[in-house]
Amino acid sequence: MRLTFTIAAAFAAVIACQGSVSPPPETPPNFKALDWISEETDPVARLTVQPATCLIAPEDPAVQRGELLFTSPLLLGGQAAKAGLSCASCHLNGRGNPDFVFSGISGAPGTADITSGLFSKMRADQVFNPVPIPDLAAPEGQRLVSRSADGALEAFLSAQITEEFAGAAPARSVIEDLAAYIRSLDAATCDANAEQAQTWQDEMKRLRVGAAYLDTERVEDASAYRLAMRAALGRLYERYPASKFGGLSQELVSIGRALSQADRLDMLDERLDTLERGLRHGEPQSFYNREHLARSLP
Amino acid sequence: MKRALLIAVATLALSGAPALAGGGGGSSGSSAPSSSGPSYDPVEEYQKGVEHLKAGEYAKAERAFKRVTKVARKDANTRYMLGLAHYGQEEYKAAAKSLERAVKYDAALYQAHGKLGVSYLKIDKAEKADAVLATLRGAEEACAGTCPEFTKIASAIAEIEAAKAPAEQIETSSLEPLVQQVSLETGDVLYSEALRLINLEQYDAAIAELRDAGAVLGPHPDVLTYIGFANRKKGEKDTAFAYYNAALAIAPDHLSANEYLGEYYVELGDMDRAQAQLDKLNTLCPFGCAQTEELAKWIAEADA
Repeated sequence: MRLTFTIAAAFAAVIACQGSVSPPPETPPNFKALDWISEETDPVARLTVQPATCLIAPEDPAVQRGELLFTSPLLLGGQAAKAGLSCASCHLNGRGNPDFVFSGISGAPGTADITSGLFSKMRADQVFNPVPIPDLAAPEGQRLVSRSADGALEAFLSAQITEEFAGAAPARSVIEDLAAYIRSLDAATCDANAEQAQTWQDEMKRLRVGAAYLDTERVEDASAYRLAMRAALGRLYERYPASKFGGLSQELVSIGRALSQADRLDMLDERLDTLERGLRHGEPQSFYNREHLARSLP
Repeated sequence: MKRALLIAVATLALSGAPALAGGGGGSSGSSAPSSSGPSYDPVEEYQKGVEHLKAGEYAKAERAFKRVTKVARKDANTRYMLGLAHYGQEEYKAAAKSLERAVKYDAALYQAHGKLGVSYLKIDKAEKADAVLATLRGAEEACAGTCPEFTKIASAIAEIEAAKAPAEQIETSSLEPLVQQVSLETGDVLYSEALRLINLEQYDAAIAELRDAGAVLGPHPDVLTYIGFANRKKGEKDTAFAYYNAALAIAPDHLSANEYLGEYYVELGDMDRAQAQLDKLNTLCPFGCAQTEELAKWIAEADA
């Protein structure tokens, strides 16, 4: 056991540092999250901080799975999925996004036309009428949908995916997990105006949540969770560029590919352990480091 | 941070891979610039050409558009712009040659017809100008005031007729209407509007918007891909195939072009080629992408 750990730790250090001996020239990073911000938004701030987490039950597995799904672009369909938008693109950490701008969808920053034909014809009203993106942790009375009535939130979420975004009808478990997450969002549980750092640990937690779920017998639609996990790996890949983290990047790609092929992966937990050590070790040189990020952005 | 074609940015292979990495090769971020690719970005070059046109620097514009044609040989907008660059230098014969190719590659690029007719008149080829006029009148009649290009057809007819008028009445055919409307943001808006129209199954109108977006943005692979897609939805499969290939000639790793080409093969029943497209997408998207999922679904349904 001890030996395994030592070898794994050594490997983690190797994959984190690989490429540092003779790094190829660094190209300016390209972060998907910056594709949907206004001209005035500070890109460094957008990539390093997020609204505070406001969850009633942050340790509830269903809430955690819902949060994982919330960040998955492939939960949505049509042009939104092709563009790489997830629920979290508009609702950062389940909250709002005052900087969101998407050509053809947004008016002022932080608004979206939810009846635009660009994403789906089902709700298209031929009128450009963007509305402010709501904070999903807003108190009762400011919420669009009742969270207490039986099935109302679930029906709403299902319709959002299939009608607003032309996505495929999700499995029941997917909707239940998403609903659990959204029911748990409540500004009363936090300092609603506070912000917190974006970290690799956020993505790692999502990967762990997905891995634990894939390991259970009750998986109804594993593909949705696997796709969400792959998206998390992709976001890590953006922050640990191949030019500096060759081995680590390759491992991210390797796990991503493996997750495309099977619901259960041999040694997934062990691979995630190793990955985690690599991420921690490489953090100072990664784009999770604010100074490093600021220097690298054009 | 807002960029031209926001959606385009999101359709690229691998996070962080620029659309035209390696100067038009469109390769993924993990590979070296393609040795077969050009050493410049045709979209950027096109936009430079447009800027030169706006500034009245026609020789520079000509050079820029000629570079674009080395990659996007059959891009009608580029040929049209090249024609305008010649026209601005009063090289009417060369202008006519470029404009002939523009209308050959896209018969519905009516502004090119208009300028072609005028160029013919400048080089004393009145019969050819009349033939262009007849083509435009035929299009006007077929359109009957209802097609998206109606205004452009009418303008092209008016332009040729004005040029045919006695010399003292001639208002020299100007380049102004073209260059005034150019802005990258306009291109974004036109592109988004086209996608909206595609979702609403208004394919002719979408193609007209995409054609305009192409005039602003140049031979952008997103624009070419969706012209192909809209044509496929209209049943114009050969045209669709040509546009997908035009997009892939500029950006071989373009996700949507690869997906739609795969779907085209599925429709033809050529499952080997469809599978090859899926394999390529799987390589391009280690972290998953909608294009892979969609094509996989098509193949699975066809196999079922």
